[in-house]
Amino acid sequence: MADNKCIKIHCKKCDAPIDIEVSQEELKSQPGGIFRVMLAHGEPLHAVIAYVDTNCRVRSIEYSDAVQVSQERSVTAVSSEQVPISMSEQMGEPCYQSMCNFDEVKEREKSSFILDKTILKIVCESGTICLSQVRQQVAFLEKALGEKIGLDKVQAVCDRYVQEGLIRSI
Amino acid sequence: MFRWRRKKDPRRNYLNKMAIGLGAGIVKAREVLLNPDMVDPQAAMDILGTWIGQELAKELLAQKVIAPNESSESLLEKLLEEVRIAEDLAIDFEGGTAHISVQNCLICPRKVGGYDLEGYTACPVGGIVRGAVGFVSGKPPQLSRIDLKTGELCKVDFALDAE
Repeated sequence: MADNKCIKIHCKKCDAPIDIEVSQEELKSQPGGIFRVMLAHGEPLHAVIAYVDTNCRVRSIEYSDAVQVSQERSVTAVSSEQVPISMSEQMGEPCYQSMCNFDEVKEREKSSFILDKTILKIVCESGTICLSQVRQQVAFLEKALGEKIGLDKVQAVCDRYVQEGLIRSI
Repeated sequence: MFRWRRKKDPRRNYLNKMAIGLGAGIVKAREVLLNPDMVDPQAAMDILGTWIGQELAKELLAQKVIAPNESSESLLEKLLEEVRIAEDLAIDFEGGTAHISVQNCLICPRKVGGYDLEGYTACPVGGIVRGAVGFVSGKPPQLSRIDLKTGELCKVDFALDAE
């Protein structure tokens, strides 16, 4: 296919760079979707599954434990909410997923501190989001509160909401 | 023409400092305060309370009521003594968390001020304490839980060892 896009990823199983091909046409036909591309390769044979968004960015990579060879390329689409927003999760950064709608807990959290409430709202409205992006989105509060809001502060709030079951760590 | 002249009175300076903190907070947080999607009354009070608390701590330091290395416990006791935000304020330390219980609050807009807050809360205690402790320790404590029952017993939890 002439409109194929070649994307380079790094396979942790064989510690080698590999190329995967994604059809631009197929990507464009699924706006907002994430393509799941599986490629079997290496010795012993194993499969890598790459989640690619419509901008050809690799959102996440998974590996199979066992492979039965079909010698065929497989492409399927999954909801973007099921996939982390970036590759941060792979790089060891915590990611959080909402377990509820913010409107459902708004009343309960009405007297929570503004930082906590804002973080919860961001996670609830994002579906899935990594820690650094939560911090980026609460940065506007730094000037308002006159202090630096570090990753550790944001993580402490997220972890508390994880314990309380309002969000989950993925 | 009437003209009044009064000398600066340190005992009355806390009100001035509260006004200074309020003014500074309104300017610094104006973008957040003017956006109803980002802030509700309690959140706005938390922000402004933080600025007010910083100014009160500065005044406590200026009057040498507290020392720069004052513990959080001692700071809260002296803040209560000087500013009288409540008749009864208890603090209980558990690990890195300080549990503050406020009874007979004297700055509750609803109970003391008599305003109908239309279902909202606007408690300044958490912000003031956070601002004061943060200014003196250099590490603003994390407000981990606020349980407000206006006119009854309000509880505020702080993680004092937060960076």
